[in-house]
Amino acid sequence: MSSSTSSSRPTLRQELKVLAVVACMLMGVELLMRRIESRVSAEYATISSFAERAERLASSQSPRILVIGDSLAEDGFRADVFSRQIEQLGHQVSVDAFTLPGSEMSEWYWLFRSYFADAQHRPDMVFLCSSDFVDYPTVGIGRLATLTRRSNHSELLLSDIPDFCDRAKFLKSSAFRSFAGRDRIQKSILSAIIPNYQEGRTWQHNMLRQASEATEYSEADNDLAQEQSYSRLHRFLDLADEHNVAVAIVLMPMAYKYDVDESLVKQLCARQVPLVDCRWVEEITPASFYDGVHLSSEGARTFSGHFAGRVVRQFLSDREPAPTF
Amino acid sequence: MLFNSYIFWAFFAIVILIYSRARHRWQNIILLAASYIFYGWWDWRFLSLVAASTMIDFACTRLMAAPGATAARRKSLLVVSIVSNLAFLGFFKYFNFFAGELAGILSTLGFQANLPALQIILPVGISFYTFQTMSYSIDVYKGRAQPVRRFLDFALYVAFFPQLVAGPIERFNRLMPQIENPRVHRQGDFAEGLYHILLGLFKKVVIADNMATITNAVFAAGPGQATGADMLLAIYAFAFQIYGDFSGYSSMAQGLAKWLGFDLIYNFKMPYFAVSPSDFWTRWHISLSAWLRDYLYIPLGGNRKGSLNTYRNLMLTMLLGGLWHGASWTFVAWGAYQGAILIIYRLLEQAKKSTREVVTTWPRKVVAGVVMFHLTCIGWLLFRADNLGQAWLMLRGIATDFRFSEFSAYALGSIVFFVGPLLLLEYWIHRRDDMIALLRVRWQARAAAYSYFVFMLWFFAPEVSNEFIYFQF
Repeated sequence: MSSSTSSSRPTLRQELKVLAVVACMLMGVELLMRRIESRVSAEYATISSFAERAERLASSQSPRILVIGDSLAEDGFRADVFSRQIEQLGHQVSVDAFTLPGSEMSEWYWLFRSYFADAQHRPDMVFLCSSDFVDYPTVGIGRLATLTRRSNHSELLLSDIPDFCDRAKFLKSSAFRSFAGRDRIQKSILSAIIPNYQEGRTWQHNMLRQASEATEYSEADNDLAQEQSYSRLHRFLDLADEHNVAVAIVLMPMAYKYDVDESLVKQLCARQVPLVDCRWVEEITPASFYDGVHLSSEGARTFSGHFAGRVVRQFLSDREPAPTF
Repeated sequence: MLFNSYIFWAFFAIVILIYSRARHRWQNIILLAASYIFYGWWDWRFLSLVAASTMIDFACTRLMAAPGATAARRKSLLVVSIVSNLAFLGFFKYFNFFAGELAGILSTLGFQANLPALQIILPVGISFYTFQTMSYSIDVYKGRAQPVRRFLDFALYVAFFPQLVAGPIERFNRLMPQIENPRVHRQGDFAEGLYHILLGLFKKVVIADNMATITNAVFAAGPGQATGADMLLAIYAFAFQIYGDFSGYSSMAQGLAKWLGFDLIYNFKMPYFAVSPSDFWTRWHISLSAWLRDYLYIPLGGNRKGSLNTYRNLMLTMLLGGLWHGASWTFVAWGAYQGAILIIYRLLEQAKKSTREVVTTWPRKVVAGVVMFHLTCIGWLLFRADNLGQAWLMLRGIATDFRFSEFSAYALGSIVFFVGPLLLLEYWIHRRDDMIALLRVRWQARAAAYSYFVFMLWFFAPEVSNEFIYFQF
């Protein structure tokens, strides 16, 4: 087979033309993405709505409640049911839920900081709803870039993204929406082309998770497992304190029992941050979850009503002042 | 510092900026410094190994060439060079394996063996640069190469960063003249480098990393969780994963070297179009198979001493080739399997002329290619399995429980989507019999191909990249 000995090799000029075409292709995709991203991505549409919804919540006269969380809160919390129940209990609140599936403390901090950490927008109360508040490495870099278009990137890069490659990815995501939203484009193309894409991915994900859990258990070191870090939660609480916003941690229900980390309880106690433990709600049974983790719409209605009652008792009623554990 | 990481490209940008402004002697010094930084990035302690290997082989070969060196002295110097290289390799790569196996055997015989189990970190790419330096010592001893005079040049030959950690294993007579002489930049070097880098990135990031998710899921599945069809497709996925991973790395190495003014050999030439095992080994990891042929198979006698000796030599060469990949019975089994199919094909060739002569018409080529691909896949099963038991269970699963599940449809769709276009491109290259055929077409066609590569890299890179498989070797 011949290789590089022929004289019919491209000139630098020709190759620059090739690169120019590739750059034009990428620019075209980027422009297209900027036009259609709200339509093709429900998540992007949600993030795009945050600014307007934050304004709306800020303009309310009644006590403003902000719910932040992951998919447990996204599927499990119904703002309409919650406010109706609170109204029935004799109180008036304005509530909105800013939730993103798979999000964690880092994204919640920057969400709060981007949309609510100023005198005009600060809510009266924030509920952080999830089952886990540990510091995890930032995974959703593209989403974080989308979420923090209004924020100071240098601070974010220093504090949340320590790795050089992740920083480069973050900056690329900030500059190019097509790159930030590539996982959504990938998903929509593959699910249109590949049969059983969703089912196959779920099975694949379960097998890989099973393997990684087995590795983790085999390498488990109980001492290490107990020493979870909550520095990002503390950073959130510090920011809320700075703006005089009350914060409560809500442990969301799941179909199976899960333990709460003792160290988290101690640290919250020390800071006098209320913990609303909704892990076991009487009316919620395993049948209330569509996949064992996320509440069905019926389950969400039940939970939201129950949660409203807890909020009234713990935070809005004078009879039982917060915090209670 | 992986070739597909941002940190590497930041590093390379700095290196090439300084390098392109320097004169020849300084260029070598810059490359040597860059190579040591590149290698030390994994673990600076590994640098001592590269440096030690370099110094020992440099000293041994200089002494071999010293006036008045007797044949016995030259031989003992060669032994020193080979033993020290193999000692590094043996200790870091095989100590725990053999210590564990010995303890097992002693325990079976009723003896309690308290052999030390050391926490040994395997230095990346140790097998590659060890083989490269050993070939130099052997070549000097045999008079096939003149010992290098400048230590810095030799150090760069050992540590040249594009091919240091995963090859290709370059021969002294090919690479050293390029180091010793000033770089010559020809028209098309930039284009050729770009082609190799882009194709390599595509193979690694798009093909290998996406196939890895399928492979890893099925190989991690417990008993009864995956069907035979899932298993078969996972083995296909692994065949393309390892090909994309390793040939992608080699391609990037070639492209980077080209931009620095060096020509590296082609390490892969469309291996899955091979029609027989011997054809496969002229297409897969060419630098290793050529090394094994020249420094092991031929010295053992090659095919010169009758059929039985030829078979023995083939089996020994492939067994050692298997063991070169790692200290595990699965690699030994893989080597033995490769040796066995080489012998079987040789026997068949003797029975009805050569396979190449028989496989002339295209239907026969297709059948031979499909058969060879599946034989290769059985080898990959041994190579990828955690242990021989898992390989056996999977083979049994494929034979006895061949059901097409939802995952099978997904896996098949993914393989076709990701690998299909690459195979079409490779078939076209194969037909043109020109490894850089894409550089000889109109620039618009190349722009279309590159746009596809970049589009796929932009949108279809998995969130988490897998490390290069061959780094562990």
